[in-house]
Amino acid sequence: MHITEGIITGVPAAAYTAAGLGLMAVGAGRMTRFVEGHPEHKPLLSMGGAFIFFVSLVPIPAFTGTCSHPCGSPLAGILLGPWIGIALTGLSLLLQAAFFAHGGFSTWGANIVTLGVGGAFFGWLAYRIGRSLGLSIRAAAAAGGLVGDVATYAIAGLSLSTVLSNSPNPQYSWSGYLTAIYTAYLPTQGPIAIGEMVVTGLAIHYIHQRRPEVLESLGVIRARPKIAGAAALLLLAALPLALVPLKAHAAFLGMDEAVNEKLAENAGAAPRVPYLDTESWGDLWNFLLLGAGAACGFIIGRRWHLLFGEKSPGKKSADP
Amino acid sequence: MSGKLSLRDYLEIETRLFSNTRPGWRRACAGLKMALAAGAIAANVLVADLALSLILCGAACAILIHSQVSLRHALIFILAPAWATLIVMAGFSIGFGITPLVSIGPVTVYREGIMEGLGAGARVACDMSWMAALFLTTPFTEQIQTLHRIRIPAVLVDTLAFMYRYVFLLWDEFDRQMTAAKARGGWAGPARKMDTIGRIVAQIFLQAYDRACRINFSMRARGGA
Repeated sequence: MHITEGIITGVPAAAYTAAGLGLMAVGAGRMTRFVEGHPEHKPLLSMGGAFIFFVSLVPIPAFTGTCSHPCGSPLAGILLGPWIGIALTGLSLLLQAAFFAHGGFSTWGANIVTLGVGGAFFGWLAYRIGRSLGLSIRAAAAAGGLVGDVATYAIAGLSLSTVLSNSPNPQYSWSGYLTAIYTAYLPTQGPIAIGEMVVTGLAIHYIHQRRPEVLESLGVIRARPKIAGAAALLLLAALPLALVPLKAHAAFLGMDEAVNEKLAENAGAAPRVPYLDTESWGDLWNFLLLGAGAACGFIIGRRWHLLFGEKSPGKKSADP
Repeated sequence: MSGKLSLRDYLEIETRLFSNTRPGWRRACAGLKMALAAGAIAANVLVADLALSLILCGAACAILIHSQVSLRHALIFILAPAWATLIVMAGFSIGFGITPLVSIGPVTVYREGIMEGLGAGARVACDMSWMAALFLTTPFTEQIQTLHRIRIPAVLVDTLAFMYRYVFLLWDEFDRQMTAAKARGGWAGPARKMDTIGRIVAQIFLQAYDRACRINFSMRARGGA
């Protein structure tokens, strides 16, 4: 699934190229860290890139006897991590644009956004969520393949409809182009997405069946997935609790109004406007509380290993 | 490969590139050729004007003729995206415009759309002819050296160089395994096809993983990093 050469031009092409370069820069940083942590795996990156290139040329049977090719980036994202997957997708797209005219130079940046972010990132995310929820490796990888593909098509449709509706003399509105593109994708890309779902699930399953240590060394399999699964379940269980204060808000006055204010009035001290009336600035205290919570969450997330111990070196860089 | 360029085509191209006789544009510095190609493609994409695209395409074709590039190789490069481009041109001719030319049922072809489509076709032809002018006259190793010189992150350039080297090897392995699977009846029915592809993709990945380990050992044995 590539956005074809020649469709995106001018400022949008430049903007997408800049976005693609930014993603590649972050991916290159992750690749450098990966190589520093595991010098012995340096050739694996090249093999991974060649693998994406190759997978995106593999024919998958589609409807009415035709065949098309998978994205490849969800599989790469699952195996090598999302950022490395994005960077390798970018390199693979470069070679494909140069030699096979798959995609193109004007659409290189747009293709990195669609195939890299949509395919590698969302594919990896769906796989991780699937594993966290206790799905088998095959089912989680299949979910990664499907979600990666669907996200790729969704982002490609959004990108194309935005560009086309802003072209001179458009026939449709933005939503019109979006509907037309998604309608066209449904019969053509739908079967491919299902095919990629099956192939991704089977490929990861067979790798796991034959050489599970390879997946462990790349961090695709985690030793304790049930902890994350339990956390996800706890979060889901906590959601209804978050709704309770919303209902109770109207009836609940708060400690100051209900108790302190009444005591002060009984003692003869009438309420007056404070020198710094923070209540007139909106919900400042809740904002600060949320900000502090976010900061603390970030610090704890960043220093998680100090609290709960280091991960094994094989998992640390491959699965950021 | 994918019905377009094959491993054999590339070996033939590489053999020609490294031959002793390097006529015309082949003698020029790789950096200059890459800069010109990048400039031409950037102008083609950013300006997006039919006349400019045709002029730039003509310039690239002149370079190809001057360098005595094989006509077959040049045509493979330039015509590779033909089908996709035709679909884009057809989409543009019915998707844009205000002056209707022909109506076939609910589909109307517009004059402005046809011009947009032609512009898109010319842009693709221009880009691919410049790619042909670069890749058919410059060994990939020289391009990689130039990328190192202009300080592209080494990890990206090294990965690109290895990818170029190994992608054909992986494809060759896939092709062999696919032929073997077909011979054993692994290509009968969609479900069996999917299973076969899944098995082969897993096998290719594991082979790539093992090959990466062997490459690392051999590089370290020679004193490489």
